[in-house]
Amino acid sequence: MPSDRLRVGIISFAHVHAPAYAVALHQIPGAVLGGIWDDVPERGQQAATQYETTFFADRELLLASVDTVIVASENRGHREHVLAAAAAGVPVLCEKPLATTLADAQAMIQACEAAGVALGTAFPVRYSAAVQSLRTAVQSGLLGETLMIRATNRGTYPGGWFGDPELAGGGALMDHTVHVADLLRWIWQREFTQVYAEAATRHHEIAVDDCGLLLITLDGGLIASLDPSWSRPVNAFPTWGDVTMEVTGTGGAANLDVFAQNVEFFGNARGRTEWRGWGDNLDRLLLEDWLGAIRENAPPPISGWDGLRAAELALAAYRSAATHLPVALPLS
Amino acid sequence: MRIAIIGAGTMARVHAAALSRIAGVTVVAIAAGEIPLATVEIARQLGADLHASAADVLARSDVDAVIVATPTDTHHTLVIEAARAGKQIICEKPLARTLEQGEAMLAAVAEAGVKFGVGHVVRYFPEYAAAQTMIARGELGTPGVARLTRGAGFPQVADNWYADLQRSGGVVLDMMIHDFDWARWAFGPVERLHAQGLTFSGRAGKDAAMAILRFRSGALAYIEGSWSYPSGFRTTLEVSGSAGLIRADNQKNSPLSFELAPQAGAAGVAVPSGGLVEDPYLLQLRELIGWLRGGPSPRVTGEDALEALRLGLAALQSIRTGQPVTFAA
Repeated sequence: MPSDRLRVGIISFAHVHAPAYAVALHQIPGAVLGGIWDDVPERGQQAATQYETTFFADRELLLASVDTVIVASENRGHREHVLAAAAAGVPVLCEKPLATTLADAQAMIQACEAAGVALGTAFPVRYSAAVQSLRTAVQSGLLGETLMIRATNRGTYPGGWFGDPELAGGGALMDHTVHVADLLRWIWQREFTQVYAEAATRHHEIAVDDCGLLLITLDGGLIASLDPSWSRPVNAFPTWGDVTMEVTGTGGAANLDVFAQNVEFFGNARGRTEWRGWGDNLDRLLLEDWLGAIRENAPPPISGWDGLRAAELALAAYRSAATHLPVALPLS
Repeated sequence: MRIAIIGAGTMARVHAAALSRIAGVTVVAIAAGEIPLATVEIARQLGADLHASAADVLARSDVDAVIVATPTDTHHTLVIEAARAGKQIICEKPLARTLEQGEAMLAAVAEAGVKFGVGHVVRYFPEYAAAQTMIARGELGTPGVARLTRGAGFPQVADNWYADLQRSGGVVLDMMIHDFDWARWAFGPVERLHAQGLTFSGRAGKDAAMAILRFRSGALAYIEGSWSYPSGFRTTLEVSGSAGLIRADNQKNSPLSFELAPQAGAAGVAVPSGGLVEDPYLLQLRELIGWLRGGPSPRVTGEDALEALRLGLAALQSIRTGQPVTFAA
């Protein structure tokens, strides 16, 4: 192993995104998958075999063997694992949502700051070339003043612990609010001031919300809506879901469909249409940027603070859905 | 059946053209204070008389029914006068500008014993009708989230009455009212509504709003209307449920479109085609006029129109106050 390669560990394969990170790490010339730890040893061992790396039965030994670590556990475990990385002095990239409570998110940020350890949040959608072009268009004034944004991050129900309120900290709103929340903050460079939300369980027999709707206000009165529902039929829909934004401004309109780059496949064997994506690998771009920052000892490209702000919108949305009232942000 | 049209704008022409295709129906008159040339031409083709005021056609004993296709704030007076004149009535949506006006209209037609239809034409758009049928049949299982959007440029008319919120109710009462009505048709009564929008922001030539509805059944709906696009007209419909998802998009589902080479000095223009032998406006008038002639009841009642107006006014209130509106059971 060349010494200039960064060794990247993965803590837990509980999250559905973990395999994509492992695949991407194999594709990045400057990185090597340095090992896997999992609180479910069989799952971790299986992943280590599949991705040709070492399974560590002891998380601290993994942390001692890598240059940086990705936390891809159940949402509820993020705090514990990030704090362990901070204690070990290992820069840590945390899967979204950063945390399921503000207290957890604050504790994670503080622990990493105190230890002088970089904390990043995994928002790969920022790395879409289409998203970056929209950001340029908005910030350059091509669309004039933005009047309204209609966004979606709809998906299929991921199953497993995503339906467990204890491990996931919520349902569709917790899972699918944060990507668009981050895009809104990043593209428009504004913070949230208010959210109103409805949440419901209508599609699946589960103990968490599987659908909802948010009306969002940002600084300056900019208004946006978000649909974070797990409303794509699991068996029939041609792909996992979407990230979309329709933006209207005084100078025109823009339509963003981040995962529109598909080959449509009508296969008799499957019996349903499939969309095979051919767009850029956003997970790889995210990891390359993260590793570049680690290498140069630069601040994380997408910080823990960014993760907290996005999670805060989801938490405020839950508060609104429970009270049936608009909730002001930031939460105190 | 002999029909007079009150109003002489775009919708008056749409209705005149549709009526000309219904057997046994004659457009005998068109009445408006100012009648544009395009409407004069249609009247000439149909052999319809032109009148300067609604009172003139209401006084005619040879008029069986009237279609009211005037600015929203005038519906109230015209419908009540038409009812008192004993005419059957078809009125454009929205029913009225205020709830009090709408209630007075329904009381007047009931008192006069005349039939009263309201043009919530979206129920006659085949894709919206099919979606309602599929939901009613249970093909989607338990309905989850409906998404209904409707967008265009700001309407350009002679006296710019759409820009006067007191007359038109803006994009909420003129555009979103369609989707409020359809959503009630598909999902039943609404429990709670919250909305935000540009309506009271005082922007000339721009209006847009977004609303979240929760139905008593537990289903959710997102309804958006916009008059802030540079051009074009777009509608989307999506409904998810425990057993499946349906969606329609008027731009994607258009069977014919042209992209014409730019003419000297002019930009190229994309021209969508309706693509139906009988468009929704004709289907609507066939059903409503069939009812006026003793046929089966139409799919939209005056009470439905009043309930759609109630939702629209609640959305305006929510935008203005920043607070959700809860409806009594």
